[in-house]
Amino acid sequence: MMLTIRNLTVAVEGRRILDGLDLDIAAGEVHALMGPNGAGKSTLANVLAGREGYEVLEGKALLDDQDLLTMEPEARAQAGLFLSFQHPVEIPGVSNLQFLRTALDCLRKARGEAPLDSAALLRAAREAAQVLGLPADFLKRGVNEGFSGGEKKRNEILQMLLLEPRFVILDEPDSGLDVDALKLVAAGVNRLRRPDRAFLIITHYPRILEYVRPDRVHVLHGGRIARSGAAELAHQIEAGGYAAVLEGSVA
Amino acid sequence: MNTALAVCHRCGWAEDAATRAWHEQLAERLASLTPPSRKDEFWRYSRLSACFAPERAGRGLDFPFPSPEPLAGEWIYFDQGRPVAAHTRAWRLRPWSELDEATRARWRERLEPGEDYFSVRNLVEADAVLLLELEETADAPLQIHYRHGAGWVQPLLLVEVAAGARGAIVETFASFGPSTQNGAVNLWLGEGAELTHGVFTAKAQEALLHRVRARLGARARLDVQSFAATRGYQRLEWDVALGESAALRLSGITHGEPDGSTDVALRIRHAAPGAATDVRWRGLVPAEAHSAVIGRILIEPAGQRTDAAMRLDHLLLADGAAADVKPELEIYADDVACGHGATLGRLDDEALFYLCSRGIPEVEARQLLIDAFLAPVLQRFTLAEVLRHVHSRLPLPDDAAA
Ligand SMILES: Nc1ncnc2c1ncn2[C@@H]1O[C@H](COP(=O)(O)OP(=O)(O)OP(=O)(O)O)[C@@H](O)[C@H]1O
Ligand SMILES: [Mg+2]
Repeated sequence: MMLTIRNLTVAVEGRRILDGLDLDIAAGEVHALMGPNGAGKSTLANVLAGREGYEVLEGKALLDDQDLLTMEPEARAQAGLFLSFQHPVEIPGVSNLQFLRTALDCLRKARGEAPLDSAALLRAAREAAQVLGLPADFLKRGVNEGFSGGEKKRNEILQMLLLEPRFVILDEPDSGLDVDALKLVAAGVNRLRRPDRAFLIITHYPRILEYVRPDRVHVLHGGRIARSGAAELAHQIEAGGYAAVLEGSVA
Repeated sequence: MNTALAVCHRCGWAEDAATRAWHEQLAERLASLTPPSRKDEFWRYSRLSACFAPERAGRGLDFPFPSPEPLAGEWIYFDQGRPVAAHTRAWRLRPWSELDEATRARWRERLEPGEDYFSVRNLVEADAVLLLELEETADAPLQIHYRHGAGWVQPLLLVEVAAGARGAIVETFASFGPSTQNGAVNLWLGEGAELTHGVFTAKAQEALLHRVRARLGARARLDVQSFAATRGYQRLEWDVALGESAALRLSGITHGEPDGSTDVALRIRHAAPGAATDVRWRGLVPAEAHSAVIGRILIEPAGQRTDAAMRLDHLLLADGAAADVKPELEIYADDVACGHGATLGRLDDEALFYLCSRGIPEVEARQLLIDAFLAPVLQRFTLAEVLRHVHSRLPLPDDAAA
């Protein structure tokens, strides 16, 4: 297994949001995670990435054999984890190029590789920005500074493409995107799909799953995975709502 | 002109009859004055006691500095407040003793210090008084390097930039031992004159008080670029009066260091129509450091069509970092566009997490955010001499490729 989550129990401000969650994702697979608003999908993503403010009461999460929950956020990234945020922050004054260069240098250093030369990075970044339809002055601008909602999502994908992580969590990469952007995002994910890489896509809509076919679809409810199934599960949810698919499941 | 200055003891200050008489009055005034306290509005955040520490007391004695190293371009060294070596071409240097009485009378009037304790004391106890004049346009900045090492050190500089002339001066400071430098530089800019003024204090570990008094003639421009860091106490003051359609751009960074206190006071006066002021000061305050910036822009009734903006922002890097900021506008004219603001902030945790989540270690992520905070001021630094010093203190981002 690439990602193994066992009995993960997490509280936020004293309230249990995740409660005994189990999840396995094998290398080469794409899983989708669905669930009602407030179910705890972003909580799961944030806990895996190492954001502060979450209290892990029980359980563990392993990436390969590394115990993610004891690692600093940067160490998790260096171990190959990447989270595309539901709400990426704006960082005025830190240019996208400077940010990408620093991140890439740090990741390469952690892997024992030499820094990528500036020209190569610039070329790769420009190309990715163009493919993703980001504005021409993108690299000079502050990280996400003044970006539209859709541009922020595209920027997350751009970072994913350049940083080449091995395990990717995409938290609603499709919300707020127009059809063309949705296809671009999906194309980005498909471009990275490889036998030694895995994805967890958090979404409310089956649409993105038309472009990126998931191996499994899970529904988060009551703090754990309440239902899992094949790609069709997403359509059942779309047709009948969560009530229909959660009927009879432990909640 | 090529000057190699011999040691200029006081430069003939107060040796002529008229100056001596004035000097005696000032000495009497000094006897009646006491140092400012926190009750004085412009000193309310100051940690002044450092200046009067016993080990820093007394008139400055000679101090065995390393011999001055020639700098690039035009330069002067002031050791213990006295000019000891110089090389100039476009700038003309004259000690007080070489000025004619008309020039002396003009400067006595300009130097009138009011009741300001440190100004009066500087005039009474000045180690040397030197006039720097620029008649044309100088390509390279004049570098003024002060070294102080013992007791009270009090240089006094008079700078006159003739109408239409353009140039730059860069002041740097280095301290070598327990001392207080109470220095003053007076800038007189003629009509349409332009001066870029760098003030870089990073090597000052002792007490440093540095006052800049500037008078801008019609359409004159003053561009201040200041970088202030200290492990001791320092107070930097600007008192600027703008003539008709004159422009002041004042950009500064306080780069706090543990146990250091930097205290900046700005007094800017628009007394004629059409002038513009643009102040931007940013302070970076680590644990056990203190930074204060008080700024006041006064728009007199005659200051119509004034454009004035002042932003004073601080980033507190740790608990135990202290900052006091107070921007003020006092407006007595009705046709003006003015704005001011101040912030005291901390590093944004969300931004920090975002950077770390991409594999950037926290220390580096913090540095990126710090650089971003300073960038709007650093971008306004154009003097290579200042930037060179700043780069030696700050790991700066390079965005050249973008
Ligand atoms: N910092 C916080 N403080 C208080 N409550 C929080 C915090 N973070 C999350 N929560 C709560 O935890 C619950 C789960 O939130 P989470 O963001 O994980 O939901 P989600 O499944 O991602 O929802 P959505 O589909 O709307 O994105 C919500 O009830 C939310 O209000
Ligand atoms: Mg969410």
